Amino acid sequence: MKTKFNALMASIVLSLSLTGTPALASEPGQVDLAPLTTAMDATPKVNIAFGPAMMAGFAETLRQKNPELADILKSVKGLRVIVYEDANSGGVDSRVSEMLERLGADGWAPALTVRDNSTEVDLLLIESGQHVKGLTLLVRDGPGTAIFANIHGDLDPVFIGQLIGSGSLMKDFNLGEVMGQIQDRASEK
Amino acid sequence: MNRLPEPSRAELNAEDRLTITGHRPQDPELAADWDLRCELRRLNTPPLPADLRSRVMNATHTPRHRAPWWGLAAAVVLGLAVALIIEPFDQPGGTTTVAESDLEELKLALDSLELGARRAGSAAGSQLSRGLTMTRIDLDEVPYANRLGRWIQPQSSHND
Repeated sequence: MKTKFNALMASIVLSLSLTGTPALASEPGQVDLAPLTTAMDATPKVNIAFGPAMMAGFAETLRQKNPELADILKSVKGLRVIVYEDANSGGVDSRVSEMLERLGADGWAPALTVRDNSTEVDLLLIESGQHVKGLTLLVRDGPGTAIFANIHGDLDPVFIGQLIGSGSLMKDFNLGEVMGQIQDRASEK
Repeated sequence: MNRLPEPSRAELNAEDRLTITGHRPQDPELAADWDLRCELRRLNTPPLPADLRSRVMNATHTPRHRAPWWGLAAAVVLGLAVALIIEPFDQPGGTTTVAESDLEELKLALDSLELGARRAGSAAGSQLSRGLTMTRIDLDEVPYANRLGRWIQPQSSHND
């Protein structure tokens, strides 16, 4: 009976691995920022996580108003942004070092590293073919202020350039106007 | 399909004589068969124990080697079912309803991301201007030159 059970369990594991359920595995370019948040020992001022369904929803919602932004959002499978202000960041430096070491071993490349007296910046990218699969930004700016972000998907390098270059991704974004369009479409149906 | 040849009438009659008459036949092949049967009959073999006999009979009637295949097939079906159930949650669907609060959160996330990128760029520009002696950087050939220039050029002009 035990042999049968073992054979059954092995078969389930085998069949699940053969069918390749992507939901059970983390996506390429996705980074778990939890070790950093626990080290900060504070409630983040901004803590946002969006998965692939929401990103696709955003892309479709904004397509009419801003097709360029919609294309960018469609290429993003996950977005995680955490911002701390006035937090106790004493233990975060060692966690950042551990994370950088692990990411380096996983094939991430440092795109930008700054070590100033008050500011430390690590921007890492992981690429595959023509796409950037993931971007991780770790900024510690003065005592208690930190921004941790991870974006993953099939990111266009142009998007990365725009992001690094200016910070004008949503310059034409008008929330009220977009919501008006959504309501108009809903009432037409 | 290959088939054994039908036994002839003479062979059937010889077989009948072998079992009915009880005499050793003249035919050498039949005689050898007769001798073997007699030897076997003289062997005094003990009967199988009841539990062993029942196990042998059960194993004969239920082919155990088929059981793992049924388990494997069931597991594959189960795995496929689980995969099909999980898949819709993983696929980016265009039907996701986006509320106003979601869009506000998206804007906040992108603004925060851009703030981080600006701080990173500013720190990098500051380090560059300290480490390099430069009077003027021609960024026209660099991608996103106008945007990079906003960070680097004002700081370099301070150093001039």
